[in-house]
Amino acid sequence: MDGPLVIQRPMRWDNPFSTEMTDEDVDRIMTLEPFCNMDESGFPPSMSLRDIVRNDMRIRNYRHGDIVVRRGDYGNSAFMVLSGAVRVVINPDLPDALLGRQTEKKRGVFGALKQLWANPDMPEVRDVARLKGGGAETGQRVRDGETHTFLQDVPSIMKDYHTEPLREGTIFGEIAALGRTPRTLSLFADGDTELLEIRWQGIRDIRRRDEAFRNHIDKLYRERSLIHHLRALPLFQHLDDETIQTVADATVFETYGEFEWHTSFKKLAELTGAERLRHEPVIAGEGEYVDGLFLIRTGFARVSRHVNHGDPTISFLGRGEVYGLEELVHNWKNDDQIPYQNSLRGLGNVDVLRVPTKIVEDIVLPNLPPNLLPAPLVLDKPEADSIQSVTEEGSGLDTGLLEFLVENRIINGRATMLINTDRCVRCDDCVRACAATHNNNPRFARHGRRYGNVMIANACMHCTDPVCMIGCPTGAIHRSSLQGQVVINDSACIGCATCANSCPYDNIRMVAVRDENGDFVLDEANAPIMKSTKCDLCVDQMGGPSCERACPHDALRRVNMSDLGPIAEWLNQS
Amino acid sequence: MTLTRKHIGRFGIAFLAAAAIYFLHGGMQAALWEPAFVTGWILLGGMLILTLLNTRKKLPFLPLAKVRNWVKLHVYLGWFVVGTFLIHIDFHIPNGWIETTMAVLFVIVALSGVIGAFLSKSLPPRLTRRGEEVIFERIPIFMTQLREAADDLAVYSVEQTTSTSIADFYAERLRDWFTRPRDYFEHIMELGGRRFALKQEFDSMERYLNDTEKEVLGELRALAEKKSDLDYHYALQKTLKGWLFIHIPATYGLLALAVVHVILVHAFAGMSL
Repeated sequence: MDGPLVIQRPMRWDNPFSTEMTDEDVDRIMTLEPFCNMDESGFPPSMSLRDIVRNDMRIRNYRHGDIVVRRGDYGNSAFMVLSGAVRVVINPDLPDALLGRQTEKKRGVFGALKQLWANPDMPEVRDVARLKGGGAETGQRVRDGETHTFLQDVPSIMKDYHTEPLREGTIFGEIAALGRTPRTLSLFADGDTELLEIRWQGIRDIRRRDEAFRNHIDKLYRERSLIHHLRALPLFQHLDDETIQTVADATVFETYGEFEWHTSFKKLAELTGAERLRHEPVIAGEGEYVDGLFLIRTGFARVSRHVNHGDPTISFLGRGEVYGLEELVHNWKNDDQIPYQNSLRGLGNVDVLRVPTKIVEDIVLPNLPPNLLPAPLVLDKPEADSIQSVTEEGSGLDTGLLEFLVENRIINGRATMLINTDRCVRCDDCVRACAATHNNNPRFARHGRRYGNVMIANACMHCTDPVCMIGCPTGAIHRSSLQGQVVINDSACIGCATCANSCPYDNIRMVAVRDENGDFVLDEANAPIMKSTKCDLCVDQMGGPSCERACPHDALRRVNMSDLGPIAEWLNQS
Repeated sequence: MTLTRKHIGRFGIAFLAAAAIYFLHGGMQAALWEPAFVTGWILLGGMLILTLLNTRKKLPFLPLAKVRNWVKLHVYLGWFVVGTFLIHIDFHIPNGWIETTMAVLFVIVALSGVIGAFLSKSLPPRLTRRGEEVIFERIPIFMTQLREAADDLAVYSVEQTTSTSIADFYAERLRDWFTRPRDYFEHIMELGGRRFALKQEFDSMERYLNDTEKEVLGELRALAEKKSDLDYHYALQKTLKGWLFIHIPATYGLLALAVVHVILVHAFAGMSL
């Protein structure tokens, strides 16, 4: 026996953002603000500021008109202008066509009926004229192995849209990168421009160790997003501007867990319950003093309760949901003070806002309409000792099913395809309906992970956190303007497979496309032209998802995992 | 399947509607009218609506209500049509070859529908509980792969153990069984006899093998169990699809004869009045 293979433990920077960063580049960046003002002694030797610059940053060159970021894109990096300028489009928004997206329109009755006879017989047939990019308002150019989408007519855009220049030294995109929220504005290069791109790990580590940078990021978030975020929650909607500003000033930002959860959750799912819990940072522990109200800003968190030697899941919380309100209300109304009744743990990366107890008790609760107060906590329930009762108390779902949904991060889905195999007669009417509404190409497989009689079919879930959208070089994959479905603009897709490789659920397929005669379309090197394909939730069809509508036995539903009640009701109905 | 209030309510509506037809039929007879014309047209109308389910399935892109609601309508309207049919034939076996053929076809359609509904409720949970989920059209591919793996294992056993015990056992008792789907009725009826017999054969073989051979036999047993699971899925899924091959052609035959029947009845209407 040779014994186990011994390798060097993988390190943080085994895969730097770019291999082309030179010492000269690092020296140059270190002379620029804000890096030159940072206290290098605040960084440990194992993670010096220079190392962060070298490994978590890269220099990118753009030509006049190149789109840098698009409104609605998801990204995991921020940018700083090194030379030249970028223009931010303030008003109105650039139309979808200019951003490389398709404008989704519902088909009319004739358009729908036409599918009866107009669907091609061969799979993945495309209109070759569209593949060649005829009529596109944006162009694509490849430089240094990267595809850049550029605006064809910059002067008319400058004339018709209100744009503002961002000049050397300006940093942008850091909030969207840290919070994995959609970019709010589109930017394009104004002349030849050099940008420093900083991936999220670098932003995180600098923010952690440099107070000025942290304050800068927090200030930006407070100014641009926090009030808006609080206003969106029913708890704060009744507060006037001045009061909500007080709440915002006192709110604390906290980040837990791994940002790139989508690369690690499959390994975690194989661990035992206790091992897995060790990878889930505790945000608020059961039995701990109630020090605030937690608002989930991005990501997911698990609510669990300790029972004997296990921690069964009661529910999970996603963006916009709150934790600790019941305990806060109880303590506010009663003399006996209770701690948190459950634990809140981060699942992957989760950003939370903590509103301190004093602010909640002094400002939020006294102004809260009675109908928004939660039901009083029932303490010392006798049945709360059983694992089953704990799980079913939260969602009504079977204990094992709930854990399965959390462990496999199915909770990320906004339109997850669930199939109840106890009702499914395997007729494949769903697959046929899907094919009929997509040029004879089914966009899902009636196959997937299963727990008991519940199958999670391999169909795009149109996720809350769509990691597939990170890194698309042309913006072809985007959220639809209709209802936020994640769709791919076939014309803009260059077949790079970034989205397919990123999808943690293997729900995006790469296909070789054909012309109207059924022949494969080839490039100059005789390689087939590839396109990403996936479920688009029948965004252009009149009746909505045809798979669900075609199921004769109510065995298939597209469900939003943030609302488990209807799922439990559907699964439990006879 | 458990009967809920909703099921009973919908069935009650179908029953009451059929009862109304019965009383209408009686009233018309008392008034010396010919009620068969009315019940006949209601029957034909009902059957045409029932066939619309298939049309709806062919038009998934139109917002024509969900198919599951069409199926509910199909089931309860089906019961109403059965009641109307009995009233239409006055609870007697009709005479004349067209009418008799129609009646036979109607019974085939109705019975196959009831059986199909029963199968659609009872077989899916059984599929859930046995083996991996497998798409019907891919079963032959998986079976071929299993057979090839079993062939290879038999050859391998001779090479590795210098004994032909396993290869002989495979050739004589299993090879043929591996070649195509087997034990259809056993699986449908959930008898389990073959599975038990296979287990016994494998168990009894073990006593004649050394440790290396036992290991190979264990692998062969695993393949046989997978094959048995595939047979099970094949049998049940084929049945789930198969009943429609009786129900739908019989429906079209019935409709075609119904058109002939209507023409004849109206052509000779003056003679019967």
